[in-house]
Amino acid sequence: MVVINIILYSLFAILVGLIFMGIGRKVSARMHLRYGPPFYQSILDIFKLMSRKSFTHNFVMDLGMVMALAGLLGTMLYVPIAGHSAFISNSNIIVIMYLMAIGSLGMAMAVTASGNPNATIGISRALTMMLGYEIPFFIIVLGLIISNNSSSISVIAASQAGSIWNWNIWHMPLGYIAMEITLQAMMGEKPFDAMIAPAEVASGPMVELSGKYLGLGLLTHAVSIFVETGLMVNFFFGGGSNPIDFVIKQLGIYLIAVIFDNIFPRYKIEQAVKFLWIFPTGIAVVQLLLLAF
Amino acid sequence: MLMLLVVPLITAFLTMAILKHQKTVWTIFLAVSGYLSYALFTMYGKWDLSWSIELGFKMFGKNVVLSLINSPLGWFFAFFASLTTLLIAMFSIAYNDEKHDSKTAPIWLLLIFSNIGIFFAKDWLMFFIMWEAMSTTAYFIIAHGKEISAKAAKFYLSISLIGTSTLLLGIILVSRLSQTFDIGVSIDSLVKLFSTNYSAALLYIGLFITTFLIKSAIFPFYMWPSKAYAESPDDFTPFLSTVMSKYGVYGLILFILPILAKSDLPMFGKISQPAYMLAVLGAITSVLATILAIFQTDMKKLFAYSSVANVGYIVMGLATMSVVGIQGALFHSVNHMIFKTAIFLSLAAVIYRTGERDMHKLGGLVYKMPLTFLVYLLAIISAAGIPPLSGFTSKWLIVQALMAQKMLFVVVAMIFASTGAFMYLLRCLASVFLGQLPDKYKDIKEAPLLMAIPMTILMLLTLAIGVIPGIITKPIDAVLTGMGYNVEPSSWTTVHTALAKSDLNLTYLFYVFMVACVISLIMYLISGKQEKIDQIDNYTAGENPLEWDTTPDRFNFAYGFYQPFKQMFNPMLDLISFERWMSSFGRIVERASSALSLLYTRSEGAILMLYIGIAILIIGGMM
Repeated sequence: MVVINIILYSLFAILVGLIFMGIGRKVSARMHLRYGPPFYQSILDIFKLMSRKSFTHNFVMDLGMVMALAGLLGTMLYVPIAGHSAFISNSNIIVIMYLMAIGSLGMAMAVTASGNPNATIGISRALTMMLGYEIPFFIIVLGLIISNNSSSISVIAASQAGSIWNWNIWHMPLGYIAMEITLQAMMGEKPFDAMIAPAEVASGPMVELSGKYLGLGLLTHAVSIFVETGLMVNFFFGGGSNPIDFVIKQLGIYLIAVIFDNIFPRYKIEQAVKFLWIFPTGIAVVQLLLLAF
Repeated sequence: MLMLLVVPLITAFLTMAILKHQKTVWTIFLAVSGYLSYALFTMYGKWDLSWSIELGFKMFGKNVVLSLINSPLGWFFAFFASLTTLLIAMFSIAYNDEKHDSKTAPIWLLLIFSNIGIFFAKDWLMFFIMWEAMSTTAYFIIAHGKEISAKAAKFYLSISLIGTSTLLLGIILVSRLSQTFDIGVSIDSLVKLFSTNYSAALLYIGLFITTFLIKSAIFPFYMWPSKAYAESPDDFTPFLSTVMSKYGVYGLILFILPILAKSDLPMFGKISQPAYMLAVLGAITSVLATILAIFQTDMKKLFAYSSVANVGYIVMGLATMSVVGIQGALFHSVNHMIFKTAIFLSLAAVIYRTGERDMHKLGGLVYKMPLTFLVYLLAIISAAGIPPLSGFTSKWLIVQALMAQKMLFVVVAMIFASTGAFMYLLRCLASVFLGQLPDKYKDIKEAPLLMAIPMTILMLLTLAIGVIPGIITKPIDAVLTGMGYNVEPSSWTTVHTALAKSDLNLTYLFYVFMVACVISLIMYLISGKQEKIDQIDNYTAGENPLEWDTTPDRFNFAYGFYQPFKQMFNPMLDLISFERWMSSFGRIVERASSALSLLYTRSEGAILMLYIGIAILIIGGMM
């Protein structure tokens, strides 16, 4: 039973993530005054990529891509969706933070194995960026954990139940602002997309991926969008009363990220890390001190 | 009990006699470590085992006694240390062939002798003798007859000597206070001293803490491992990094924690000020060592700094003074032994095959040494604290304990260090095992069987402990009970924390991850076929780099892996550069000594000295 649940939840997350990506493309196109592809375009892309013949360089590439998707799916299963989850757990935040790393590790391993210098530069940037955003992200999470005396996401989401005025976004507005900036970096959207940077490192990690490897990479990205926006909903927007409510909130958060993505230029990697360590971290620290004392 | 000390001591002298037959010597070494592991295994639960000898001379009105006792804490460290040694010993047989022979087995046996002595000592005399023996023997192994190693070893020895002197001073002061050498009694008398004379007591434990911090390389003594670990024999480095860095941790748990727990101290938030100070030192250590590790190009130096950072986590866990924190710290001690041994052994296998220590000169070794790669991969997943491997559990426990005690900035430092760990671990993976294989390594082979066996065992061990944490938490229960904490018996699968609704079932986590892996694998299998092509076929669009007077391995991006990041930190790195400090210190010493030598080499100086001497004589005579 749990196994079937896990499969259904995984498919749900992948589907939602892909549709979000499609809607995001449509919104960016409209901002560019283009017509844009239909909202289900990403799903068609996946089918196309998965059915094509693809190139691999060695078994590490295959292993890494499978590991990346598995890590993100595992993470997704620990995020409660409007109080529902595939199995009974305490949905511990620290577990989610570390499980997400397995996705990054798999991706990093796969693309480094290709031997392309552009891919490796992309990975070195991505890991540097990770150190940049983990600090403010964790400080915000720490504030939530301290004020609820629990590291369970379900408890944090449940504490905001009732009316819209119980949401954490009103209780800790500074934390929300910091989280919004951090989320931009977590999703790798501009101005924090130095690791992908098509003009400099030819899409970085993606440069050597073809066919089903690119497909698996896209699926990983879709699930990571689901996880990251899902965390945001649980932390600041009350976690949603039912799955539809939850997904709509997620979509709103994702669209904010897409809009910012379209109006900002790109930071260099060291500028991005400095920015993340000064502004969101500073705001988050102020929020933490307000909560702790 | 005594046999544990006698066997390594006797075999040490025995093997010195037959030092020519290296294979036999290392086999004896393996047998001794096997015996010790077995003997220690049978000693679990027998907490009344002890041994003592009364010596002929008197002190404090009684005959001096040297004694050993089987305490849960000592057993815990001794057993896992000897288990690690057993695995390293197996590796050493294969490693020490004609070309790589370091001839250190007899001294290493002496080191194991003192190792057991430290962990089971009941009184300060025994502890000090063994501590001194350990510091000195380690010097000879690190030096192992090479000039560059001897320099590093000298550095280690001089730092170690400072530690031993403060330990000696501390023991003299404390035993004068408590009128005995017994460790348990001295804890009680120091607790009493804390209530009467706070600053004196702080000085007393400060002396001990200095010793332990030096041995575990905690800030401000974080710099010696990068020299000593890097230059010692490749098969000894894991022992140095995993077992010997735990002596300081053991000392802290044995002596400092009980005092801090029982004394009435000024508080800072939820914990006492000295403990908080310790946590801050641990936090600085792990952050600093992580940053330094990220910029290393030598793989042994990189992991030397990584070891320093890991001991920093352990100290942070201990400083919480809570059950979960100490549990996490002890757990991480064992985990660190396992994964860091696995990492150092897999790197030793790489060095054994290639003879190269600089990461950027290697690359693509995954094609030639797949098993070594797999061991290294699982070990770094464990070291980065990613579930479902063992490193995650202990880091998780420490983070939870720090959050429960509201040590906010310490826990942020912990997260910084463990995310940064990810950067340096992947740097080594990418540079050594992935990327292009240089032409000169086209025909190297996989590590020999005797190396592969211990590495595989370590790999399986870290997986097993990650899935079933009870293997380690059950013995930790005994340790915590022995320290006087009230603990619930821990379960095989679940780890508990002080925070509400935050317990974690690790076996379940493993199952979930496995199901996710299967889903991911199915996605991979149902999609289209793949074709395996050469690396250069793709990104140089089929053109041969040799035609442009270059080789494919020049495309490896490895040397300045985190260059932009390094530029951010350059001002800070300059500020803390230890070499600069040492050279400026050296210059001051040189000036002072040359000024001093003027006093007796030049005639004016000599006459001045003469007058001063006469003046002292006259003043002394008048008094």
